[in-house]
Order: sequence, then structure tokens, then C-alpha cells
Amino acid sequence: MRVAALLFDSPSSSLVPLAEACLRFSPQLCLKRPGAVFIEIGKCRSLYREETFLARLSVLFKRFGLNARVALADSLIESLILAKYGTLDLRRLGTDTFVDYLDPFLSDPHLRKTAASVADSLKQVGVASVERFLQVPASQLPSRFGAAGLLLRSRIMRESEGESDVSWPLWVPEERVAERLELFDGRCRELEPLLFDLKPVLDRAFSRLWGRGLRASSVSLALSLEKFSTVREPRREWRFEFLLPQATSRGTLPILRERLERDLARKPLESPVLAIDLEVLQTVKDYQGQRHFFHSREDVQEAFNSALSQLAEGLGKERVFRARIHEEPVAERSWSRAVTEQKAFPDLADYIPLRPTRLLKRPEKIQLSGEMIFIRGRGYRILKWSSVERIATHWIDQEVVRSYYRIDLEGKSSVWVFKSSGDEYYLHGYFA
Amino acid sequence: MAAVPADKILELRELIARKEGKLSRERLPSSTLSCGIPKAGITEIAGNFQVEWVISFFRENPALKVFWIERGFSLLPTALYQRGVNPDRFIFAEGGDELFPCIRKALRCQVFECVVAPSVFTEERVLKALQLLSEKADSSLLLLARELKSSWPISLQFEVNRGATPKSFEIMLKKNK
Repeated sequence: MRVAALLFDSPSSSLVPLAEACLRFSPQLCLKRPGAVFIEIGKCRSLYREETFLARLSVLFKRFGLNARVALADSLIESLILAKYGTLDLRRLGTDTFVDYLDPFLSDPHLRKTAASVADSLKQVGVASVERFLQVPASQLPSRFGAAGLLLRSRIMRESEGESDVSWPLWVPEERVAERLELFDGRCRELEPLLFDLKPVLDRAFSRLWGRGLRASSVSLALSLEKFSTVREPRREWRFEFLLPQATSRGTLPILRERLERDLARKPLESPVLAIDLEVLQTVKDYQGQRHFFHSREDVQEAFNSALSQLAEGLGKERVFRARIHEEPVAERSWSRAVTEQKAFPDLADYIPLRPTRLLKRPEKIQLSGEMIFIRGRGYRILKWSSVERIATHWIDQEVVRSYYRIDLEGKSSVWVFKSSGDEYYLHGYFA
Repeated sequence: MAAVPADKILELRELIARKEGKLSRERLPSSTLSCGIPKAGITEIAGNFQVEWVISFFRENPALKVFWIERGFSLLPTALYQRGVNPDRFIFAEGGDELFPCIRKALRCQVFECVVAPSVFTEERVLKALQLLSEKADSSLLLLARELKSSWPISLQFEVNRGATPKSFEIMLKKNK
């Protein structure tokens, strides 16, 4: 077992969000003691070094605006004592550590009282360190201090031998991921300062999601404005549904900027922003927990997805897309618009002849006369006809019966035409 | 004395500049266009085989991430796939009348190494803005035109027509700076 104890000066509401972000290090966390977070990292040794862990932890402290004493030791109590007193040397540890040995989670006032009375009694007889306490014969402890004295001795002995008997309490993170930033300086009234303040809020929210292995697919943003008498709408709210789930603030901020820029240009903020509230409304599982060491493909993909979402925010979801290829001879049905990548492509070789690069939305009727073809009333000389490709689909899939030809024209791109069942010719595409 | 074609002169100039180490712009290679495509600049392509050439260019540069925007979408992605190009590295968009803001956004993302768009921009100011954006994004902007026009922000202009054989191209270089 290897435990990191993060000991904060005072219990803070930011501890739970920080603990959620710490889920990236280990799923085994303990928040039972007020003002402390314990992380069991022993089983993750092959994933990162302790130095890396401490460096990443300091980044998280900065992000959440917290400061803590951190200590790593082989058990929960040892890590707590090391973080609190800076040593594990029993000669230097005083009797005031008894409280931490007996009640590490500060959950039992009776035990704390007992520990304090044991410490006081020992002080009166000149026993000031843990080492001196251990020299008191075990047989004398019950008569002097009751069962608590014996329990204390046994726990100190077990801890020093590396056999901790403290059970690890279960901690389950909150369902709701919400972040709030209060602003008091009244400078945030324009888009740029707003985005500047929004960035750390997003950072914190995404750290929490990252810790849980989630991505945000929908978030809500609310700005609370100073309530002047002239302000008609003191709370402005936006809801963002991302085209692709987002995992970083770097990818999300441009999407938010896109919408806010447009909305605030149309309807500016009437007074300074007092608070920013961000809530993650919908999440999806993110399986890419660990970054690849040798390449940055995940980062590139992340940036690509962010760009797609950002463009969709501006243009509309249906107008920005990827292509999904289908094994289908009817050209207009051979692909569809999609958001995600296509994992497996069909094998079209030797099955579907080469298709034109441009396809008309609706086939256009054309006229043929001898060696001439008339497209939109203009005539072109035909150089060559290809062999026929017959396409006939089942009536259940909207029956299509067409005979396609590729025709090379003089001074123009080759065209893709078909003869319908009614012997009429239609232009359907260009090999441009 | 026999007249030397303009594209040959341009190619020779290019060769001399390369020998002298004066070429500042990085180029993306193409087997059919010896000078390549400027990596951070505007290229205008005309001719009746322009899309086929662009697809063959993407086949030769398989690592490029591409943003392909059109006013009304008429490109057939199946054709890309049939010609050996992976459609997954493309993001397509139907820009309508918002072509310029969309291209600007795509370039600002700095994700796409290549942006393909119709050549509908006549104002020098707009083209200059696009040139600066493509330089900043280190991205190549390919404009597909009906006819080549004179505009100084465009780095490379050429016309592609069908060659003598079915899969060959006949390229006429108009401008290369």
C-alpha cells in the first residue's frame, strides 16, 4: 500500500471537486476526515512515478486554487502523520499524535477525548514522545488508560511494522458536475474578460470529468449580472449541445466563444458579471484514459473533433459533416453524412465502377442528337461513350432502373448520364 | 527562334530559385506538378479536371487533414474513396453564403493542413486576409475556380485538363511566386 495524504489548512468546499479530479490517479480515495484527501496509489505504480504524481497534483492545486501539505507513506495513518508532523520518527513524535492514531477520520468524539486524556496523563509523568509511550509495559496499560490505551499501543506497533488495520471508507463522487466562479471586481462585461474568467471554470469541470473518465456532450452556462435597476435580464443562460463530446477546455472554449460572440454582439451584457455558473448536463464515457507515450494522435484527434464542433456551432449541425461510405450502386445513396469516423469501409473494388467526382442533387434532363449532347441548351460534341452500367434496385428500396454511361466531351469534363426506363436521358454527374 | 512555353519558364525560374536557396515557402509534393503546392498560401486551380487532380494530390499526401467547403455540396465522397483517399481525414461543409467566415474559422482552428473551397472571392482585401490566415495556420488553401483571375495574394495558379491517357493530367502553369 502507498498512500498520499493531502492535508489542507481548513475544510473547503473545493475538496470534493479536487478529489473528483484526483480520480485520474486512482479510484481509491478517502474524504472522511475533514480537510484531508487520501489517495491510494500503490496499485498504480506501473502507470506513473511518485514524482510525476506530485507534479500533476501541484497543477491540480493551482487549478482549484488550493494549497495543501502532501505526504506519501505506506499506510493511511502514516501518511497523515507525515503530512501533519513532518516525520515518522517515533522519538520525535509527541503524544499529541495519539488523536490521529486512534481516530484518523475525526469521526468519534469519544475516542478523541480518550486520546487527549491519555496524552495528558502521560505528560504528567514525563512521557512526551511516542517512543517513551511504547516503553510502558503493555500489561500496565489497561489498568492505567483502559482499553483505549491498549488499542493505541497496538495500532502504533502495527503501523510501525507496516500492518495497518484501518479500513478504507468508501467514497462515491457526486453525480452532478457544476462549477461556480464569483467575481467581485466588476471588470467582466465584455467577451474577452469573460472568456478569460471562464477558462479556469472549464478547466476545473473538465478535470473532474477526466478523473471519472467522462466527456461532456452538453453543458449549460449561466452568467449572473449585477442587479442595477436598468438591467432587464439579470441572469443570462446558454445551453450547449456539442456535436462531438468534448474532453478539454482547450477544445470547448472556442465553441463557447463562437456562440457568446454572436449572442453578445446582438444583445450585450447590461451590467458586470458577478458569477459564472457552469454545469455539465450530459456526459459520455471516454475510453482514452491514458495518453500514448510515443505519438500525439489523441491530441490531433481531439483538436479535429473540437474544430468540427466549433464549425457546427457556427454553421449548424447538419451542414458540417464527415462522409460515411456505403456499399450501394445508386450514387446518391452510396454515402451519408455522419459525425463520427467510419471504422470499417466497404470494399467497392470490382463491384462498383468509378463514380463521378461531382453529383447533381437532382438529375437534369438532357437531349442527345447524333454526335451531339445538349446540356442546359448548349451543345457539346461527344468523343466517346463508355460501356453501359445497369442499376436496378428492389421496389422495396424505392425502385431505380437506370442505364449509366460515361461520355467524354470535347472541351468539357466527362459527364455521367443515365437513360431512364422511359428512354429519356438525364445528366447526373461530372468527372471534373 | 522557337517560342518557349510560359510554364517551362516558370519551372526554370523555380529551379534556379531552389538552387539559390531563395524559396522560402515549404511545398507539398505532387508527382504531376513539379513545383508542388505552397504549404502556407493560396493556390487557384481551374480546368475541367480540377477535382480529379485535387483528389490525386490528396492520395499522394495521405497525412493531410482537409476541410472541404462548398456553397451547395455536390462533391461525391464515394469518388474520393474509390480513388484511394480515406474520407475520414476530411471534414466537409456546406457553406452557403457564409463561405468566408467558415474558411476563416477553419483556418483559425489550425487543425487542417489543407482547405479546399470554391474561388468566389473577387476582393483583394478578402484574398489578402485568407492569405494571411493560411500563412498563420501553415495551411494550404486550394481555390477551385472556373477561370483563373489576376490577383496578387494568390501564390500559384494553374489549369488542369484531361491528358492524353485516361488517368493523366495536362497542366498549364499560369503563375508561381
